[in-house]
Amino acid sequence: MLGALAGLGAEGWVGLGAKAALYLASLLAAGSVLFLAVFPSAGAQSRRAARRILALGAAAAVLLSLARLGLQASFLGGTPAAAFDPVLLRIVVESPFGTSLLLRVAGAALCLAALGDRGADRGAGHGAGRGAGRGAWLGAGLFGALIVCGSFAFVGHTLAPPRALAGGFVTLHLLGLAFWLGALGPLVAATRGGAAQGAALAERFGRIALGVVALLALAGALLFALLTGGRVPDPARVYDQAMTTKLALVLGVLALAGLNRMRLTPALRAGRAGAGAALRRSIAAEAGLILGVLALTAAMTGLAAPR
Amino acid sequence: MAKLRRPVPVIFATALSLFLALATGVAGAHATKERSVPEDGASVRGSPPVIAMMFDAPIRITMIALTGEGGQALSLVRNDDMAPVTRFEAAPEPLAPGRYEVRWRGLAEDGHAMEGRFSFTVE
Repeated sequence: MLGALAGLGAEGWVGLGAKAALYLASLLAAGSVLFLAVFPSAGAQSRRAARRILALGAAAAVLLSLARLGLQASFLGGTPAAAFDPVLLRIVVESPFGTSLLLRVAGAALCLAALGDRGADRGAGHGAGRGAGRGAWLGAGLFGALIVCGSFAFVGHTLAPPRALAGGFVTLHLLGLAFWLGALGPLVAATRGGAAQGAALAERFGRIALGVVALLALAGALLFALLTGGRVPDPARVYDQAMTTKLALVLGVLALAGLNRMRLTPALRAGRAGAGAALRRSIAAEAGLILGVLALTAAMTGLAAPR
Repeated sequence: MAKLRRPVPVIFATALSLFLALATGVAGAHATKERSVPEDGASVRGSPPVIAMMFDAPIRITMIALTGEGGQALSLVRNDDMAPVTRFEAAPEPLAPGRYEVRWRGLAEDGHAMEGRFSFTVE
């Protein structure tokens, strides 16, 4: 894996960076919508944080998707100026790569609809028509999140048969990861809003995260088996080396999640001094490991083949 | 009629099913270069009339460059219009004895950008 990375030139690193950044922005946008949908009674601070991250993530996802179209044209033409070559740009846009990115742009834009869901924050006195309004804005945002996560299934190895199955596993895997990633910022905001509020949200997230992790891991394992054709993992293969490293990082995330659930959240609930800061540090470390997973995935899907 | 108590999850699940059903209609495959003419590392007598690459699946060759020993670029004439091909051909200008390198880039049907290079010697 390191050998493959060492062979990358400046052009390769820019492409890899843009790809990893787009993964992050897309999952943050989709994950923030999932947070707003799953935690309607989260504190105002958490929901405000989710909205801010949603707006930033969706805007970055749109810009990075468009930038990647140009970067792809530039790569294909072999010169920076090729990024603006209309013939190459048309080829890129008409390819599955273009379909995937344009779907992501549409999905990210649609995610923004969830910003219109203010019902849960207005309190009891403003409840008239809340259900219908919330359903419409949030439904549109959720559809956007689904398009964002599903857009990854429209390019690359997941297009090989059985496409529907591989596409389904990719989408579910990414919805699970988006949910996880999208909750981290609002969780940090909740711990700043007070110990009781922080602990309540962390407890609810911890309970739901158990099921989400099971779904994420199952979809990931089935996808790996599909893409590799069920072959025995080979330590000499770059793809398998990256996957092993990715699994190690994921285990780190799970260990931190376990620590949060078993030790840090109860400490916060008990009002122990420094518990909020400790939980925030742990969440920051979790986010760092997930960033590593995204960067590694960006590298392995570009530099190595599963078979 | 019974009221739908949780419309958002139901709509989400329905949308997921529809979306995945749509995804099944997309075609595509990864392409791998199987061989080239001249072969990588081969020595040929006289200037080759054509430089060719064979792939196991259709690919659009978007860039091809032929360079000589000093790194000087040499011209190639191609007539594929960047259409997806499994056999790509380009005619080089007459090549003097020496070592030559071909670099190429292309887009596979599954959207993967690919690149490669091979070299040969003209005796």
